[in-house]
Amino acid sequence: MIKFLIFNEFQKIFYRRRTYIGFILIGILIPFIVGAIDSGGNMLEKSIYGQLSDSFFFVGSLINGYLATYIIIAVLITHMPFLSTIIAADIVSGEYSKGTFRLYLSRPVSRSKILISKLIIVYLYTILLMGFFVGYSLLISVAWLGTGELAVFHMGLLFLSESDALIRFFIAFLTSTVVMLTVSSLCFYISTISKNSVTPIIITISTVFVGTAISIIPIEFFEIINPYLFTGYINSYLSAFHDPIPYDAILRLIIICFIWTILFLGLAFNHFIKKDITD
Amino acid sequence: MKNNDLIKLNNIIKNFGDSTALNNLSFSIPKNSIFGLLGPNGSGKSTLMRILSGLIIEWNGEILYENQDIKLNQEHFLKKCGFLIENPTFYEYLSARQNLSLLAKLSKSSNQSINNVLNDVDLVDDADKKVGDFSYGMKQRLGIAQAILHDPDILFLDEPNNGLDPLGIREMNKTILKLHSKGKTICVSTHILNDVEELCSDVVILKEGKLIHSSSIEYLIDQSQEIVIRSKEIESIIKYFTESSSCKIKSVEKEKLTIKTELDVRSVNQLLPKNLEIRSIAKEPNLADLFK
Repeated sequence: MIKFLIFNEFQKIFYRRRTYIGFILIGILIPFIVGAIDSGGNMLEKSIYGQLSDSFFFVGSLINGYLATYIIIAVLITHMPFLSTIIAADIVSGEYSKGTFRLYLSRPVSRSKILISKLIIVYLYTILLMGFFVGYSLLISVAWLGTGELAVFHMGLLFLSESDALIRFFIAFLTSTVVMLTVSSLCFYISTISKNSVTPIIITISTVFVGTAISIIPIEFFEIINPYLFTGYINSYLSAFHDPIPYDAILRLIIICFIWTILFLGLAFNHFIKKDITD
Repeated sequence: MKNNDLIKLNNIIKNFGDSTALNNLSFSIPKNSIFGLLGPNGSGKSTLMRILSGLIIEWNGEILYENQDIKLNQEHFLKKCGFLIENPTFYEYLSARQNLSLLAKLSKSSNQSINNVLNDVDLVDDADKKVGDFSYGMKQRLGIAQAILHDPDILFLDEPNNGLDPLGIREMNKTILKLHSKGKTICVSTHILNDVEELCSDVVILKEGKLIHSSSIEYLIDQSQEIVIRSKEIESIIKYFTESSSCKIKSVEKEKLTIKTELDVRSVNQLLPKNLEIRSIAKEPNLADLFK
């Protein structure tokens, strides 16, 4: 039965235009950014070298597809919660507001199975969107600018080997996807208690915004709680570009995100299963 | 539970906060009946439909289907039931066929059954149009189609004629009677009294969440009948009834006098002198009074 439910949910989002907004935006924006990096390469190199150019003589160019991808991820990652929650926000609340649950929930299917099928679709969408974001960035950047060593800032200018760049981008994709799945879980939970699809997006984005602010503001209390908030890990993809890669920190982020995800899903299921559909 | 009772409700109570939507409701729905759930708006009809359909989870009391508590085996009960709860709502960006296909998967119905129900409600030609482009009447018929998709034994139709024009009402009533003739038990909730007289074999009347009447439609109509006299000489006729202890004047209009009486038409006629010009004397049901 669950596969039919998943197929139904897939069919519902497949025929909706809003499903494709995130993909279209990324599809348009990334070539635009890569083109801009290509044309403004000299200026970018100068800002990377900074004062180092006074002491060192650099041969060749730092600008390549890997650096462009790294920059694209850095620029757009904080905006990804907007796009990744498009489906999660509407998937339950939309059925309340349109009244379609009256049809759907009066069938001989358990509510938990229905919610699981919706959750699977939300997660698949989030993973697909993040995969498209990182994969498409890499594809366009490398096709346009070629490959080379990846220069990043981590405790100074760090040159990462071209040979393990793809592995690092894959780890960056995994870590950022884990955080984004937690963001989607929060949005999914709000969707089960809200009767419109705008409220979940607003609450989720506000939470991410406040959480990100907490991670930046240098106040002792915030510094204590920040490691326990999933919002403090939005930029955790950066750890994939440290040398060596801090796998213990990545494991910690996975555990924290997992705990928050379980909490949000527990609340969502508890609410949805007991909810009276009165609209 | 009588032998021919398909569903029995015992002491159903539903509260929303401080307000009581259903107050200790008990009655039975006979097998193969067209059962009318009557009552003014806010009487608890839709709440009861939602309880039966599993949309409302928290409620007190007991509902027995074929002597089994539906709370203990709701999935089995829902397999046997089809619901049209208030205005039918669909995924408007999908076609009628796609909407039915979504629901067919939930009840493991075949593609053939989709074609059959579309045929039953006369929507075959529009099956591949988006539901968003459908008229209200078409959506209502599609609502019936989704309710009968899995060939249920019982159909619960909540205000099926609501918002339909007279032609649409006639079509809907025809569809309901056709489904009943196929052996289905149908429970129709409505506040439109003409529907009740035309369709129902048994009725209950709800008011403010309480049961105020339960009987066959014949008994109900018989109980609620009034005698209506139409004449140009209403003023002269009135005095014969003001003096009568067996008749009570209910209302007087320009050329129409309505009386409440235990007497039949013939006996009432005999109370009146022959020289009065009377256009007609007839019994007319007035179910509206039962709502008061």
